[in-house]
Amino acid sequence: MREHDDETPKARAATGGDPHAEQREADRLVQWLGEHGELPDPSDAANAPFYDWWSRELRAREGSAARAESERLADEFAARMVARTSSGAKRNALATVVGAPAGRPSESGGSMRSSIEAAERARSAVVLDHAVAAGAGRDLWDEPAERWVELPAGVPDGRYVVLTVAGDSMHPMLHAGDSVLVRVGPEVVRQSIVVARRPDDGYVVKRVGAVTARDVELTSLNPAYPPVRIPRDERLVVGTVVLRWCGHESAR
Amino acid sequence: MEREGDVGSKIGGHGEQEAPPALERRGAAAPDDQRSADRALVARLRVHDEAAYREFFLRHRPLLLELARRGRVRPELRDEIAGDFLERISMKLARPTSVVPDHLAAYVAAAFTRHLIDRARARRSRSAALREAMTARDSGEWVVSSLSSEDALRASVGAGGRDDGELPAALRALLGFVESETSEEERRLLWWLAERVPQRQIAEWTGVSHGAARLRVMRLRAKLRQRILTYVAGQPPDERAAVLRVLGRAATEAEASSGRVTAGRESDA
Repeated sequence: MREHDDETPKARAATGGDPHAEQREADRLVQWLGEHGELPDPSDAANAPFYDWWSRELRAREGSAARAESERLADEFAARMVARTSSGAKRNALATVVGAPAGRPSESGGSMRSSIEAAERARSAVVLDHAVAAGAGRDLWDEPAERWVELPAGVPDGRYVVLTVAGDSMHPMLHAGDSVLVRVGPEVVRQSIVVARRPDDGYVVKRVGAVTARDVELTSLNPAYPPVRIPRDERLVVGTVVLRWCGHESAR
Repeated sequence: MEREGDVGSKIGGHGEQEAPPALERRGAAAPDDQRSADRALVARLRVHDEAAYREFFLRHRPLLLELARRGRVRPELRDEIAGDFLERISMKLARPTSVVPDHLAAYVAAAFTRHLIDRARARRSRSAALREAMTARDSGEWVVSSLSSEDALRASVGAGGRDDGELPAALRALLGFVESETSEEERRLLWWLAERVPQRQIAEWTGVSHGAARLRVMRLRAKLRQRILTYVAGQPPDERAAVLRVLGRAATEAEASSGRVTAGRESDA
């Protein structure tokens, strides 16, 4: 704002030169401008912290009656949204066994590749324990398989492996340290959870997003991680996650 | 975070080389805990957690109602409009492929503001069609009904673009004057003051000390008042009265001005 000449004598006379009255006038003016002026553009990143603050502040300023009404409407809203997304919720549900998988020594020596068929006949899954983990770039199928886990009741027969989850990209569905039962196979179905190999970057567990003739989109549940794409190559897909073992509190 | 690429049997998110995208924007980073809370909330929406939908609603409803009020949406429509919008935006955010905004509240506010603008535009368009139908030859009630939603019918008897009417011309001119006399940063500061943002918070957002922020606020308020009083002095009496009422001078100069105007008009007659 430009520097300006002094207040007019008439204006000063109206407040009697009383600094408190002038303060009150300035307050009224600021309030009026806030009420009637243009809102700060919320799409401008410079205003984003203000909107964060304002959102919290407006919520805190709600009176008891308004808060009670908000709570009631929020209950209705949440119930409506869950009903609308029930199919989605079912899709997101993953069978859970509380605790860690109980392993036993492998009944077949050699690598996972050679052990997996023997495990299938014994209704078991081959465990790849992180203690025997390969480094980046090594092939999962060449890893030694020293432990098996009996398939939990209800899991159809088939070829399975058990892997340990690291990282938080699939939070809150999967936590670091969870074990997942993966049905081995190259199928990729939209919205399913798969274990796949990213060329030059090791194995990941992700939800399948868009599938095109050329590539497969892999998305994370944790929004901090952007989607990634891998070539649509059967050799890059280990299989589909069908169950998790979880010792996390939320699984109990 | 562990690197999944380091261990073939440990699987999970991306490795460190694919850390979450850079979030910093020019001078506008939210506190990390706010950002983390936003991201956690979106993550819970994505697994359709009922408590997350509830929290999302509680967190944003007051903001949307206030934006609707500022947008002069009729009071009886605000909750319905805000509720419908929160359904749409939460569904959008719950999609795993949606981009997660850096600042959830600002994102929701921006989308809602656009929604209100679109709504106002649609209402104006429907109102124009309605007026056209009502004045056209051979138009009957059936024409009006076929063109009008309940909302448009209500709008046709109310004010034009906004539900609650417009400001008087003198006050619109005052807003224009303030806009021409202030910088964007000053208007932002005025907005913060109007919303009673603590000066410590202003200091943090503007990157200055508390004392400097306080001084800046004081100077801006004084200058603004002076500018407006000078502006008022050059206005016709009736407009001067309207502006002075903003300052709370209705009982003194404003009334005197109104009296002079009335007397003047009577004598003209």
